[in-house]
Amino acid sequence: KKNLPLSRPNSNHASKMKNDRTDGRTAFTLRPLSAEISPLTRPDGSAKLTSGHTQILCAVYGPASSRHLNRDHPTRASLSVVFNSQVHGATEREMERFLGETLGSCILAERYPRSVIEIVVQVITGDGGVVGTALNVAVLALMDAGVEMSSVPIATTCVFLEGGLRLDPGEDEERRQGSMPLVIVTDNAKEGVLGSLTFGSEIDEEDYYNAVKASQKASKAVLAFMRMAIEGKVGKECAMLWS
Amino acid sequence: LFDSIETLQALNPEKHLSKFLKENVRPCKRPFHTSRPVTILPSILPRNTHGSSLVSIGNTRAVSAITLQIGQPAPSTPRRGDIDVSLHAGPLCHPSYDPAGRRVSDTGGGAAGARDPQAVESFVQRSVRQADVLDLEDLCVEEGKSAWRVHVSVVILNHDGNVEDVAMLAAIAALANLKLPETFLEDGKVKVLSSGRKTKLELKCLPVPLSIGLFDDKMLVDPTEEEEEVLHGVLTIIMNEKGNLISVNKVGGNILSIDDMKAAMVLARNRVKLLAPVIKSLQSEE
Repeated sequence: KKNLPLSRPNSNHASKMKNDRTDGRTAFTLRPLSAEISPLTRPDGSAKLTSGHTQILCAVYGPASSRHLNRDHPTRASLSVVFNSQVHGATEREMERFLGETLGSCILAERYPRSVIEIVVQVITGDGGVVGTALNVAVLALMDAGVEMSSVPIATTCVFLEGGLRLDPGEDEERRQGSMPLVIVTDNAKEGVLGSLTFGSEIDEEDYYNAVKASQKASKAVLAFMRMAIEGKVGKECAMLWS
Repeated sequence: LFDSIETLQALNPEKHLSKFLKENVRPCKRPFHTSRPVTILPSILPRNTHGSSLVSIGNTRAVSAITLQIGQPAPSTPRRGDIDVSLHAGPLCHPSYDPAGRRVSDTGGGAAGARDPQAVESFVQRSVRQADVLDLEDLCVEEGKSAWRVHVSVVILNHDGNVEDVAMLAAIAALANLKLPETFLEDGKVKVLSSGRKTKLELKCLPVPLSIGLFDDKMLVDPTEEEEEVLHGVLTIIMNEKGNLISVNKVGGNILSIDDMKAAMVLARNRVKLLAPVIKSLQSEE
């Protein structure tokens, strides 16, 4: 279970703070994460990520030669993303573009000229944070496939409820009247925004910057979890090889 | 090595742009933070539609038109109508589109995905809906039984970069120009009085988009098509007249620090100062 270290409020303050979260979590606590690396045998890389009740599976094929003659680029790999779920009014194409461009900016595409890397994302159950979890599971699957990346992008889903900023919302928190979910993608190497996607109406500029800072902090915990998951799998494989 | 700029651009467009940017100049000679001139013409198709406009940013041009339908409101929102946006980009505007409006050449990589018309349509539609541009309850005809469905069709006439901004402005301008016809009930059915009084709806919000192309660490406001071919990413900010953010969409490109984002917000705010009064003035047009 991943919990961000929070400054401990004294009991008086806690009782005064209105908890408007459905599952009683505090504002910046993420839902429990669990991952399975290489659940599928056919693709070059695969991963399944569970965040609370949201469960997403991702398969990566490649780098491989492209099936269509015109699709390859002479000096770098091209990325193709398949995502079959509509999210808050945004169609699949928009999500495919967002995932493809964000991952594409971190993949060392020049290492694989004239190849295609295909990323297939399948949402098994969606309970909030679908786009963010999809990006994170794609990162795990790319690692499993051994695709070289210059940095590790991590997505954090935030929502602004009446009480303020909340991280990692569930579906009902995202769909509440007046709530504004946003997905911020950060990278642990540098401070700032790698990708950003917003749903919902008006958000104050200062609130946006606060969401970015909170996402930066939360992504450290997610990265540590991913490292644990990959190390676990690689450790087991090494033990098997040398046994 | 290259005997002409055109040869370099044809063979290696990324290097071509990067050479210009190293000298702090854009190939189109525009300053980095300047957009091309914006023209918004309302009521461009007065006879067949209930609101229309022609918007151009430089050479990128789109026409939008509103058609109305009567539909049944959802049971949970008995007074609400609906706004629907569709976008079409065909071979008329750019050779990389086929007649069905799909992208034909798919080089992959780069922010070339921006030109996928379905992605742009999805973005414009959800931005218009999210921005709460119209009070959907103003579209009610008979509570629980019928309400207007406002269908905005945007057709891209010429694609010279930054189709998202043009499409968004075209949709907003058409909605600003929207005139609802008078209706009456006959035998329980809603009939439209074509010669009757027309109601103009007031826009609740004036969202103004600004797209900034990202290449290495440079920000290129309002990218042209030749720049878009090789951009690493795009940042689109939609801000309303109160200075609140409707949407912050960053796809691809290097990391932008909070200071970079603040600079982009300043540019977006200036854009709002420039365009919000223009859109507002469309409302008072007859």
